[in-house]
Amino acid sequence: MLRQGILLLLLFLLIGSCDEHKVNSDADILAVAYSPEDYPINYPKEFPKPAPVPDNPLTKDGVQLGRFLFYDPILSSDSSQSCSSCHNPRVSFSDNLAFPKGVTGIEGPRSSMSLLNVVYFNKGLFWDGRSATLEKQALEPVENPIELHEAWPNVESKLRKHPLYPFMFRKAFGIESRDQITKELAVKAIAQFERIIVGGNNSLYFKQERGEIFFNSDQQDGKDIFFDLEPLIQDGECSHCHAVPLFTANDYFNNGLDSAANYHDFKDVGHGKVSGIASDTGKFKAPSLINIELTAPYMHDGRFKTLEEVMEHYNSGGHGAPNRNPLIYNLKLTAREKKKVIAFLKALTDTTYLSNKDILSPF
Amino acid sequence: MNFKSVELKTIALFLNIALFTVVFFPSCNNNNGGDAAQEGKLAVIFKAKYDGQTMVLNKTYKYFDQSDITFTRSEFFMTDLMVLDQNSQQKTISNTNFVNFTEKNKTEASAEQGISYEFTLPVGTYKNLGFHIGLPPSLNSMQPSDFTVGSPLAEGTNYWAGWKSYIFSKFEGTIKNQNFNDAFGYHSGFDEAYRTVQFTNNFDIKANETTTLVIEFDHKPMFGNNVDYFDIYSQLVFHDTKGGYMARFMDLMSKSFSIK
Repeated sequence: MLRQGILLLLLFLLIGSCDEHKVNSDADILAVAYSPEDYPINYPKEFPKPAPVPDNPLTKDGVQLGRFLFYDPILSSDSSQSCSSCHNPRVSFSDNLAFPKGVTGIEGPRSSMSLLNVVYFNKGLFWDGRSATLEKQALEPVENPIELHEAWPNVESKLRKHPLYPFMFRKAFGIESRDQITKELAVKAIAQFERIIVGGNNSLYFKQERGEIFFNSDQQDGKDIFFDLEPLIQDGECSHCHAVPLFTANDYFNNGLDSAANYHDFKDVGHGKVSGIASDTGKFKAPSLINIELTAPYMHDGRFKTLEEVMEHYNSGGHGAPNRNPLIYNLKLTAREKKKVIAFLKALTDTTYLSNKDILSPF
Repeated sequence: MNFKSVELKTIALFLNIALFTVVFFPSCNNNNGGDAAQEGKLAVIFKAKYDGQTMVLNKTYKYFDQSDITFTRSEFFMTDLMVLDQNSQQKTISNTNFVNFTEKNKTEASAEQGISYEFTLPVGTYKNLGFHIGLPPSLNSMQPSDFTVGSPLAEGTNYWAGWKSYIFSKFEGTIKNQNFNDAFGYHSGFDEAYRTVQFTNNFDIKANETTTLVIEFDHKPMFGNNVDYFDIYSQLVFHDTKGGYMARFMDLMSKSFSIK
């Protein structure tokens, strides 16, 4: 009886000490103050105002945590890749690959989209628009077997055991224990970081629009063709799908990449799989042309290696499909006119965002 | 002042207060209740048609020359939805709306529902419902950066940067006969494309009830009539004022609405 009593007492003490240890283990993060401050950002006046995100406002510590997570390979199963592996800031948060390879070496089915100005894209993310928000988008690559190929519970476990992240989650979101580090908070932080990746308004185009510089004649003629500004110059019909100020219509189009006799003919159904509407098959998001010079190869499958190839495609009118956009037709641009459009496209390059240290890797 | 007179005065005061209470407070209640009861709802539903049939995107219809025509895009800005009240006073009940059949009319069921807007109005008889197609010049002089993401006015796709104008309407589709199979795109913009649509039907708003008006927008008469219609094959695209196509199209478009 006495022995049983001693055993029970020891068990009680053990459980008690476990609880005590748990409290103590989180006491260190509780010692860190949670006092969120708004992240100071002035979005370019040339662009629309971003819609507020009430359940995930930008804070200094949230953005900072998101920045660390974005560049940290801790999110991948073998610690070899991070978000930045496919979204490299040096090339406008893209990767210059037709099909990026994940941690297992398997190629993905589509190219990586630039993340520049993603804060403005409210009609679905990815080439097919399957994620409604940045928070939802950020959940996907971690568990995708052809991307980071890691399970979120493992990521959460790694983050909880990490010497630094619990304190950063505390500062960003006010967690009171390591157990409160979740994938939901992780993607909120990543989304906050992505919402500060903004640029393009210091490109030659916007400088010319502001009257700060002159275009050369190729750039000006290219602009005329792009926007159909001059009645006597052939209309390039570019600005319908690549509309200012973000140089994207933020919508999905069939731009005549592949021949299709009917909606079942498309090898990649694109937006059709998301909307469930037959006529949306073979449609993909029109990407922004800001920094297009940096983000080769082009199209959702990277089939065009150069801007010259892209221009050739559009000038030809592309291939027939029942939902090919009516503004994709044989433009009859001359070789010189095509070069002028490319000169204009290169005037959309702006890498001044790289001077923002909050955007670059902390590692 | 003796006790009796004080007592009488007190009783008189009490009676006055009681009378005031009986008369005034119920009348207040009546007023408040009356204000609430003096309002009703107006539902305005836009339905896209083609030759009287429900227009569904990608569904084939017959053009004037018996070509097969389909629509892949149909959308326009509708501004200043207005009514005239009993005193012929103009009331604007909604400022700017983007009537987006491109999203709504992907399926037959959804297309038949139409795009619905609901407003609260004082009870009474109204007449002359109307609206504008496009944006008034003061709004058309603005640009997407003046608006917040989520507004159709913030969308670059609804704006012509080169010409500093919003795109008022977009209609796209395909047209096919034995010899040709083409896609067409008719877009309008500029202040010159601004048009007014007006109906003279009277309608009543009744207390706590919803009056529903269905506005049918038939896409066929937008292209002309059996005698004089757009030769789409020879004019597959327009998005400027060249050739007068846009002005003619907008005139026809403004006459393609009917109220039920």
